[in-house]
Amino acid sequence: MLGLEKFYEKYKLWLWPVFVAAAAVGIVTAVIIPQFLDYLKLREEIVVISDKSAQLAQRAQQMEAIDQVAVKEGLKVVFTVLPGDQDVSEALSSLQELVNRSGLILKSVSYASAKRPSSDKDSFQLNTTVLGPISSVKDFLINLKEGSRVFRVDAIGARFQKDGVIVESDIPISVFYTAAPIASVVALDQPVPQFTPRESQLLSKLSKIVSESLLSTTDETASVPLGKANPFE
Amino acid sequence: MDSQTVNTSRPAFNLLPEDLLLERKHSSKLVFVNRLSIVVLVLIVLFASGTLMLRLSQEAPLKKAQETLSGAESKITALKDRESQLLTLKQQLGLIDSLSGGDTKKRAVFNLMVLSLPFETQISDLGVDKNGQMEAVLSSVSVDSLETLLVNLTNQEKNSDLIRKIELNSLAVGKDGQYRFSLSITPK
Repeated sequence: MLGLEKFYEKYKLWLWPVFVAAAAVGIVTAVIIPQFLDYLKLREEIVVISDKSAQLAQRAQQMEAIDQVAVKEGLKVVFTVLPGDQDVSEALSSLQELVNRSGLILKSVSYASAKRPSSDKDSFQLNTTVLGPISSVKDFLINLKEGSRVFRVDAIGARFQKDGVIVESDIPISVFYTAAPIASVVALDQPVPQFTPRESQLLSKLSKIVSESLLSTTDETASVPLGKANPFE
Repeated sequence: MDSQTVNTSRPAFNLLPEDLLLERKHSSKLVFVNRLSIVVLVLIVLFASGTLMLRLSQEAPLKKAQETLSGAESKITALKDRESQLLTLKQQLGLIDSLSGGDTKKRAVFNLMVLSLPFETQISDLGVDKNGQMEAVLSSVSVDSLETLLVNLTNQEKNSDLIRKIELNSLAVGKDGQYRFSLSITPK
């Protein structure tokens, strides 16, 4: 007891400062530093979240700007040109129309399944034989680009007939179809896809072709004689 | 003036014992140190409270930012269909574009032959294979027509730099005076 009193008497000047120093170190290490680090971390997190929100809001705005009606129309057009199944009859009617437009006579058409192992695209082949002047064959080859289906000329054969004017031309044509592709998801940090000028040009060209094709089909249907309105008269 | 007078006239005497004086001095020093320590401690506590408040003050903006983010994400999710339709359309257009361009060479070679043909030259037989290689059998009344045809075919302005090689495989004159020749044309 006497020793303790002596110790107190000796060090009473340093007692409070030491206690305060110990408390200060405790408070700084246990409270101030962790809280301050947390504050910095949260501030950074808020900045990151705000940036991301702004980016997403801008993206949402871009997505809202997509003309949904035009896109749906475009999808109708591309799936008419490149349907999900073979639709041979439609391809034949389109081919017939192109032959007629080029001033040729369709001598024969035969169907052949032509799934190439090297290609992942589905197609079938229409082995076409046409008759007419060589300039019309040239026009036909150009017009095939304007068909309401995707036609690809696989080869061209031409034999002049005895008169030297009319050509009999064998043209195997691949007609393409494909199942609807599964659209890959665009990452959120990537910009919203936009049409390139080439795509816009192709889409407007295809829209025109398809609408003209539909129009001609309607005209053909309208020109078919329907018979008497009342068959019992 | 008076005090100076007093000071000079009355010298100050401290009659307290030396020990007591020293103890008083120590005591006042202790009080000063203790007060200073308490002030420092209070300041540190205040500073700690300040940092705690600062930290807590970030909670509300963080919550608000998170709500804004989730709002934007849900908006994006709602519009995802539009984007995927657009993407499908773009993919299909790309596919159509790539498929349509597969036969350009064949058409171009055929068209070039038709357009380069001199008036008096006739095609007997013509074939363009899958690679765009053309084999043609032609007939003409003179060799000049063949020369004109070859000049036309090799003219880079007319053939748009399409042709890599032209081979004259055969040349014969028939009894009727007609020149018959066969050509192989290899595109680039």
